[in-house]
Amino acid sequence: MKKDTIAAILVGFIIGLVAAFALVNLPQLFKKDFRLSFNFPSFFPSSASPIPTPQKNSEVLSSLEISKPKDQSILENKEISLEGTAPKNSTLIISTSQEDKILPSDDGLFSTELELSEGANIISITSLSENSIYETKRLTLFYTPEKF
Amino acid sequence: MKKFLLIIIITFFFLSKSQVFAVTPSPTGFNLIDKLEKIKILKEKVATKVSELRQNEKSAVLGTVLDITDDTMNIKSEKGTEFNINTTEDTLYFSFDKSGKRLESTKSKVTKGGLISVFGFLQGNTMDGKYIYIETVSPLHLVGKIMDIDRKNFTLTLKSQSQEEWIIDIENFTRTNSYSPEEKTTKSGFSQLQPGDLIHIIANNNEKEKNRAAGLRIVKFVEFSPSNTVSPTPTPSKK
Repeated sequence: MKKDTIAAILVGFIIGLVAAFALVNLPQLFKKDFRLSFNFPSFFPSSASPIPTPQKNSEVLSSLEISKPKDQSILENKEISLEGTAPKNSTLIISTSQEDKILPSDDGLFSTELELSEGANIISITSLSENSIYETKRLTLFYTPEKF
Repeated sequence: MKKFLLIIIITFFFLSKSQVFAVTPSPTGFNLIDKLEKIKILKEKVATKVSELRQNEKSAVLGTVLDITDDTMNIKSEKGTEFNINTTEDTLYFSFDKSGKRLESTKSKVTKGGLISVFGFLQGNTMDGKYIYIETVSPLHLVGKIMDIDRKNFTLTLKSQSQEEWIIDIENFTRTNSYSPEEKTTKSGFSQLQPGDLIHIIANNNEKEKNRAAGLRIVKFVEFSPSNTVSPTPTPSKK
């Protein structure tokens, strides 16, 4: 009878322990990824990977997107590089208050250097394609040589 | 039974997140120099943390001035968000001359309805303004097809992307270029623009008349324009 009581207490203790462990660790597991998935090491062939492979240049997006710099960002250098994607075989016109830059985007990617003025800089980027399809994006970039 | 108990204890030991609290022998003789050293390290840590937090809050906004008081300004961004700008005697003001050169300025030069860009530390919608630039109104960027040309009055009517009709005044300062993939950018002129041409315009808005602007720079895209008129003697533009 005594043995049974002790065994019951111990079993209850183990169940409690497991429950406490689950309570402490489960939220963290869920935070990482809601699905209970495992990252298998790289010995699996890449073709079996469920992760989609990045698009090749030839498959680049059909609409105008600016990847760098981000809208509303503060830049520390006057000279900046503007990069993004545009419809293939389109012509881009990038305008600041000072100048217009026109560049072809044959492969759907573009990159150009711009010089910013102090304060706010509104930059408009327009892509022009056949059949007069055009799209414009606007960026507001900030530049100050002052440190803060 | 003892074995069973031992297994449970071992299981408990491995399952639980062990937190080891190092027991260091308490120093028997803390002297003043040690304490000062610790305070110094703590101060440095606090300063680093404050600097990190400040770095995260570092921001800039562009907006139209709605209200000005002795130590605050209220501005509205292009997207319609209102910001309260706290100003102090340390806030620096700048403006620009006609050539775009920066000039030092004062708060008194900031006017209601004017455009400013503010650099500072943002928390919510309140910013501690550190540098304030008094901006000039940005020119318009328009793209569209020429609907009509009035050669007598030097104007053209443009249908923009948003299907709005704009009257563009061609002034002495208006620079016109054309672009084609073969010729790149070549100098052009008002006489070479035709209805149906696809053009890009940078223009100053006419505040007296709605949807009217003075052209600053015009680019005609030859490849997308039915008239396909290129200057017979193209000269590369200097950029």
